[in-house]
Amino acid sequence: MGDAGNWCLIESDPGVFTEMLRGFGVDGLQVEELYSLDDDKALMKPVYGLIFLFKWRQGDHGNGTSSPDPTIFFAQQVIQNACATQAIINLIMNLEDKNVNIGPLLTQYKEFAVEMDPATRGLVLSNSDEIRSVHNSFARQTLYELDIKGGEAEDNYHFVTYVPIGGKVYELDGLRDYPLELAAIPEGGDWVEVVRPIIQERMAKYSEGEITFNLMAMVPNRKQKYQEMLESLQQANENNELDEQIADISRSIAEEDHKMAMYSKENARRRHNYTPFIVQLMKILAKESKFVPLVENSYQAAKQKAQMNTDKTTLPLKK
Amino acid sequence: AKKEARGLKKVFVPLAEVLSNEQVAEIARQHAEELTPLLPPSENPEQELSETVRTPQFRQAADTLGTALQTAQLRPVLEQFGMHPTVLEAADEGSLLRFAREMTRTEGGHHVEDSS
Repeated sequence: MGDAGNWCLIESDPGVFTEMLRGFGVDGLQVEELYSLDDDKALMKPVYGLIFLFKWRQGDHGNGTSSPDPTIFFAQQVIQNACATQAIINLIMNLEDKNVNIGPLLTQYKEFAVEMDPATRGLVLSNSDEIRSVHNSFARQTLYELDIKGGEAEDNYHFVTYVPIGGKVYELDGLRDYPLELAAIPEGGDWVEVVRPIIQERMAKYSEGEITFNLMAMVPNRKQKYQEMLESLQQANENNELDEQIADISRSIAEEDHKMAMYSKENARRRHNYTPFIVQLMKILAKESKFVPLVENSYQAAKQKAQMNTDKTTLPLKK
Repeated sequence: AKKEARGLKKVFVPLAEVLSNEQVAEIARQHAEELTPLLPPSENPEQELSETVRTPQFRQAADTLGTALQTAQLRPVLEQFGMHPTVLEAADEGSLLRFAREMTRTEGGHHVEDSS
């Protein structure tokens, strides 16, 4: 992997990815975290793609056929911290839906990179100042850099995307040379049904190896969908027989509004540098003579915990 | 005091554990005027302040700062906040307890016995 450049580490979170899509100027999409592959509520149709995040390890091979099909847009990952953004962009580049507008920035990238090979596409992406600045706007702010051995634990996380393209399911993994063809989608079938056992198998394998992973879905902008439903219900509601459904949909819209407000609050916190606040808070606690007792309590708790851990680790030796 | 600080240094205390509790949240609320300007912009600054010490973002920042302190790397940051030289010396030792004591002394809190 090449120079990490100025791509900052960002948190994998549906709120970060959803607001990042807005930052790219994409309209009609959002990212939802999935707690299971049967989560019909989160998996609002059509599901445009699935993003699988896991801790990467050497020699991790998936099953499928390497497919250098040039009609698939696939960019290789050439720098490390950009992998989430690259996975999302790989997914969007293969998406064709009249309800989705990918915006001028990504359209421009697509037009520019479409004729290139996967490595060059990745290079062009990593050199895009505009895409990088949207990505970096979600980075954690600090006043200082720490010299802690081992680096950030998140460094080894890796993202792959699953997408339906032209009647087949592909896995796009930026660390490979080409897309991986996984399975054919039966005529009129739902691609999520096809990919479900493949992902489930992978999840089971990772669970066994205690490898952390999570799964997210790229779905339509839910609020827009609900609003369309609401409008057609309201038009058809001549004798008030649809009142209950209308109330349901209205609640769902309010839920989405609340979720987006939470996302923007959390992202404001992610961007914030808390150092001045923490320093001021410690000063206040010191002035109020609360700081030392608080620290002492935590020392006691930490000591007890350390003691317990020592007991635990020495137990097997007593046998 | 130095000997004790060295002894305690072996036990690492996450700063978020020290600061992320209701007692600290209450004291923060009492000093809202000084503290809310240091938080992210919010439509409801009082609520933001109330929630802050429990947010993962604050906890993460506190732990990073605590790690810097306890690995004796915090001096350059503390210098930016005009800390008293004795507080900086405590930070150089990497002892959170000594740091808290020196800070208490310089901020005019009650005198703290070293033998506690």
